[in-house]
Amino acid sequence: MLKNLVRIFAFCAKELNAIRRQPLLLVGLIIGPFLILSLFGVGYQGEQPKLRTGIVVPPGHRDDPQVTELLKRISNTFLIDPERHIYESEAPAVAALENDELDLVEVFPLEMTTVYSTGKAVDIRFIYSEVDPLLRSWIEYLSYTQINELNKGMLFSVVGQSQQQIGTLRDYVSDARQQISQLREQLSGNKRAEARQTIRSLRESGALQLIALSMTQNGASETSTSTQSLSSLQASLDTLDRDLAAGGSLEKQEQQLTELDTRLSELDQQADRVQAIDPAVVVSPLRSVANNLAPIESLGDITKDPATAYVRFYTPAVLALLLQHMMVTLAGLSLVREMQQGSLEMFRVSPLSAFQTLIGKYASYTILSAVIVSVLVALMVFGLGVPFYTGQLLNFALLTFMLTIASLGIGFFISSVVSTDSQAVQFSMLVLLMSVFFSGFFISIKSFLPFVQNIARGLPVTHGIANYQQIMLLNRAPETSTYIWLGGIALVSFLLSWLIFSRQFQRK
Amino acid sequence: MQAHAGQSLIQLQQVTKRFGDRDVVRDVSWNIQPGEIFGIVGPSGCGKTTTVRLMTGVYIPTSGSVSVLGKDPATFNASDREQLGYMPQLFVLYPNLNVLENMRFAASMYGVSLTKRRKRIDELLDFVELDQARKTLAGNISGGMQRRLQLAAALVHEPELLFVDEPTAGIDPVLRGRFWDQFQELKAMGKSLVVTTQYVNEVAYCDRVAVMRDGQLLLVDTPDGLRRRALGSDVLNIRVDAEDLRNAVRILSRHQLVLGIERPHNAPLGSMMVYVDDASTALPELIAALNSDPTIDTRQVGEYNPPFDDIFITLMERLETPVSKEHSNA
Repeated sequence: MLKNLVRIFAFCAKELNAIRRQPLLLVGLIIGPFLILSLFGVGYQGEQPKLRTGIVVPPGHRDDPQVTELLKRISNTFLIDPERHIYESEAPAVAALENDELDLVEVFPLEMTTVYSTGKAVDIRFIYSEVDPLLRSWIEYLSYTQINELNKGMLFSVVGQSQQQIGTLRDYVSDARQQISQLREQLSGNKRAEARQTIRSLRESGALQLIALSMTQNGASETSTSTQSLSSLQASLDTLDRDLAAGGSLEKQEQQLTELDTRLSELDQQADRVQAIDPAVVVSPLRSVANNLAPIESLGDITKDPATAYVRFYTPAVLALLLQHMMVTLAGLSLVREMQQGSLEMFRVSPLSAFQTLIGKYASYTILSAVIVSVLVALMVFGLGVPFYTGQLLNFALLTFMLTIASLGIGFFISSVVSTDSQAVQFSMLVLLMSVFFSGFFISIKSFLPFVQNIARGLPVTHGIANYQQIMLLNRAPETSTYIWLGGIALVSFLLSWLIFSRQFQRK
Repeated sequence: MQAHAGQSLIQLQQVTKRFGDRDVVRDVSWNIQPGEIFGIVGPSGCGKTTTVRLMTGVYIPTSGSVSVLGKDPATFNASDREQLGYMPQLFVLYPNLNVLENMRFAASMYGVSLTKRRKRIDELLDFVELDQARKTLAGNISGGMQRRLQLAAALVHEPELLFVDEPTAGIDPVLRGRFWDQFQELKAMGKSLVVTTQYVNEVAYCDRVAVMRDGQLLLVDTPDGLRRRALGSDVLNIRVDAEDLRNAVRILSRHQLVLGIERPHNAPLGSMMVYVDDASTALPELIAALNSDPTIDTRQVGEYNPPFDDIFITLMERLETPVSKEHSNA
């Protein structure tokens, strides 16, 4: 038993001493990732780059105030050089696009100035030449949001104008109500001649016609009853005038005038309400209020300091990816180097077994992993401000251990099937590439089909990223399934490596 | 585990090892006794390393049987393997570890406890004269030092039986001599050694030698036995005063122990080669015979030991066709 432990220890000491002798490797493993993350934090601007945009306006409209206003509105998201990249025809703008002087050309047609008079929607064209699907989506998204904003701007302006017109309408209503009040007094005083004069004045002022016309133009549906009443009032005024001239009873007409005054009063109140509404509310009556339940305070404010938020979010993922890659590469090179160097022949003659060799190497790299992760986490916490909850220390240690042995298993499996160290490096890089795409490092694994998601779960780093983030950012323990997955990967890869390595170890 | 008294330490019986359709070792048989230095000599590619690997259990014979320390090496357990020491042909320790760390690794590999290894490593580094280089990286020491480190690593667990595959290949004659001194010291400690070499003159350091060619065993004999086989008998080198040569030849040619006399072309004046059955018996008698004639001034008398290179060439020429098979009767 003791001799077996001593044999296992042989590899512990040997591997650790060999790594200790490579200061560049240690620097690469510890300082490298820290410097990369620091550089990311210092250099990341937290937003997509602004697109260099050329604007094509209708000929002769370069200095149009409408164009100036337009440029002002879109310059938040598009980079426009008003001296060089405002064009009055499409061809030079497209040439600039093809020469890579521009990322995007936006063409505003002449019809845009007359859109309300023609009543037809106008196309604003966005021309670009881009292969990158992410940038293509970005440009299309920006185009969509820009048009949305322009439409809202135009609507805002129209609403403002309408509210001004409602003000005029209320003046007419006020005039009309004064004259109707006067008319009612004259009728009650049986001052027929004066009343007829007021009716003439009311007709000639055209206030009622203007009220009806304004309401029709503004399309206020809820005032349609009032509009009908106004039309019937026109007729009632005619009848009243005739009745006054004939000297008949005026009781019915007085009732009509009272009713009309009430309607005009309602109309005035409605107009007042419409006028009081903020045009911005009319244009965008709904707003989104997102409520994130995750405790993300420790990440920092993403709007004020996006770089810090991104660094803190990605640091646990980088740690997981780095740990897996480091372990896969070290283990991947380990056995194949023993074979290439000829040490395996010495092992075969000795009492060493394949099992002891593997366990010894597992132990040495696990110790190395513990040291490197400890130093890295200290740098990340104290250097980059990444949160770490001491209550999660045991979970963190267990996850690190499981991630390490699962990654080592994959590395040893690679090492047992390849015949040269360059092949081992090649396969390790393939595992890294696969991890970058499928582990959730950049793209959520939910973006993939279910069978690909299961393949992704076969990578230790997939569980490492999700659960390091959970532990470090959310103060939440990993699910049991995490350990089952990692344990399964570790066990299967160990058994396969052991089986294959034992066959190589066997006497021939 | 020890071979029983009277039993061979290693026994090969008609061992053949085939890779693909080629017999790398064919029909080799020998017995190696405890406490001897057994040399395997032959040109590069003659099957020496494969034979060593068969004896260490790295290879399993295609046919025939191998017994080492009384067991088939293929069935060795860990404690059996602790009895073996192995120094491979190439340096297979770790260049990025220092001499001491390599020794510690070798000790751990054989399960030597931490308490025992320290003294043992000190002794061995002293033995192979690497004490001053213990903190030097193995990759930074010379080829000869690497070979000595490999030897020390093979001895760290105090094996009973040591296999040494071409320990002197590519190193200078002085260092080669030192290696053989160390092997002799190990033998004096009671160890058994199997040593392969391409250098024919090194067979002189062995107790017995197997000569191999093209995967076949040509013969097994002691170094003296090889010499006798090459020369046909023992040879004495006798030199008298040039003027006395005629008288001396006359006396010796009549002597019953003398099988023949030759006068080499380039030999000094008065020299002759005298062939006898047994040099140790004949030498005093022939000296007495020469002294019986007071006129003869005997200048030099001794056994003639030609270089083993010459012996080997002669043997090869004799054994050229057909290849003979000789099995040790030890």
